[in-house]
Amino acid sequence: MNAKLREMRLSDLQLKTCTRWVAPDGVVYLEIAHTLPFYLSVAAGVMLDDVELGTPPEFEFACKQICSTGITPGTLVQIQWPDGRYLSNPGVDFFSFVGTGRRARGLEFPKRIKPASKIRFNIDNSAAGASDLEIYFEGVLRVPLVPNNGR
Amino acid sequence: MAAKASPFPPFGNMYAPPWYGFSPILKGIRDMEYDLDLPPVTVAAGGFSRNNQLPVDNDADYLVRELQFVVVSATGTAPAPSDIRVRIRDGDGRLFTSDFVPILDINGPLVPAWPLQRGCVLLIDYQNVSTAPESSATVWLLLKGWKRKLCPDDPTEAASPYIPMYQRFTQPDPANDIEDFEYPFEFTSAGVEDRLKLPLQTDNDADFLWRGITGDWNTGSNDVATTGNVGLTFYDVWGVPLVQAPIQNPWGSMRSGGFRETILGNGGGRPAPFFPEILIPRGGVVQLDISFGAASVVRFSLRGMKVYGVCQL
Repeated sequence: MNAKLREMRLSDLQLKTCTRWVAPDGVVYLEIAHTLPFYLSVAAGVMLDDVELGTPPEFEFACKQICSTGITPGTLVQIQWPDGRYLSNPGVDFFSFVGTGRRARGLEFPKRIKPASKIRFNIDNSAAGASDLEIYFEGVLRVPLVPNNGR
Repeated sequence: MAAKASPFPPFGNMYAPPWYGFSPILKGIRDMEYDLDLPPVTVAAGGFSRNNQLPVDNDADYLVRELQFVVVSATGTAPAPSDIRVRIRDGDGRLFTSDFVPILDINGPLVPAWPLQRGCVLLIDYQNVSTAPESSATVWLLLKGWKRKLCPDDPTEAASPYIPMYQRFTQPDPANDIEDFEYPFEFTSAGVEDRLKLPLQTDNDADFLWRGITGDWNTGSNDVATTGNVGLTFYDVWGVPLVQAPIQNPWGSMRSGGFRETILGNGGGRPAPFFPEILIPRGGVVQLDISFGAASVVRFSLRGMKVYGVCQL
C-alpha cells in the first residue's frame, strides 16, 4: 500500500451538484472484514416490530451476505435497510431461507450502509415454541484513505 | 446502456446456475427458460419400464443443460441409489446412452448443452436391478434448459463466445438501481386439491427481475417443511408456463437434504435459478398452479432484484 496515505477526514469531502458531499478524487478504500451479529430470543406467539440493530459508527459497512444459525423453524423475519428499502415482503423463515456458508443469503450487490445507521427487523414468531434468532450480517468496513499531502 | 461505475462489483455468480457459461446470446435468436419433465414412472424390482415417451414442444428447438432424476421408494424397501438405471434415445432414434447407466452417473449438468429438435420424442427406458422383494421405485426425470426461437429483429448479439452467466443478467445503469429482494408465499391445503392460476402479486414500487425460486430446507429438523407430493407450475407475466407439465416436487426424497433443484432450491441462499431472468413490471402478477397430493403446506420465495429508478441530480 502507498505509505503516503492517511485516513480521510470530513474536511476532505467535496460538494457534488450543490447538494451531496462525496469523497475526493484519489480516495481509496481499505476493506476490513466485519460481521454484525444479531441475537434475540423470541417467545412463542410473539410479534415484534421495528427491532433495531446499530451499525458501526465510524465507517461505512458494506453487507455482502446474511447468515443465520438459528435452529428453530417457523420464525419469520423481515429486514428493512437503513435507506428504507426492505429485503423481502413479507418476512421469511430464516431457518429455511437463510443459512450459513454456501447456503448464506448472498446479496448480488453489496448493500452499502452509512455509519451509525439502524437495520430494522419485523419479527413474527407465531410458532408454538420459543425461538432464538442468530443472524449475522457479513461484509466489510470501508476505511477511506486519501493522499497525505501535508494537510 | 453504460454500466454504472461503482466501487462495488457484483457479488459474483450467486444467481448463476452450475451450467453458467452456456447459452450464448446470438443475434436473431431469443432464448426462453423452459423445463421438460417425464411424469413419474414406477419400476418394479428386477424389472424394466421401456419406451416412456417425452415429447418436445413443437414451437421451438430445445437445448438441455441439465438432467435431473429423483428416485423414491414406491413400495417396500427403498432401492439403493445404483439400482435404478436409465437408457435414453433421442428424437432421431440415436441412443444417448449406449446402455443402461446408473442415473446417479448421469444426473447433473451437460457439457455441452444437448440440442433437441422441435416436435421430437425422446424414449426413456428404466431398469431396476434391485433384487430385494417389493422394492419398486418411482422415478422422476426433469430436463432443464431453454427454448431457442428465431427472432430476426432481436438486435442482441454476443460480444464474445464466452460470457459468464452472471454478466448476462441486468446490470444497474445511471437511471436504474437494482437491489436484492424476494417475495415469500405460503399455501396450505387440507387434502387432495388442485388450485389453478393463483395470482402471485408483486409490489408496485419497483419492477422485479425474477431470477429464481427458493423452497423450504429439506431437512428432518424442519417441522414446517412440505411433506408429500405437490405439483407446481409457474407462469410468467404473459401467462406462459415455465414447464411443460406440473413438476412434482419430491418432498420425502430418499436423498433428503440433497436433491431439490427440480423447481425450488433447497432452502438457504441458493435458489433454483432461471435463465434468462423474467421481468415482472411493477405491480405485476405471475401465476401458479398447485396440485396437492395430500394435506400439506408449501412455502417458497421468488428471488431476484427490484429495479428502482434513480433521481438524477
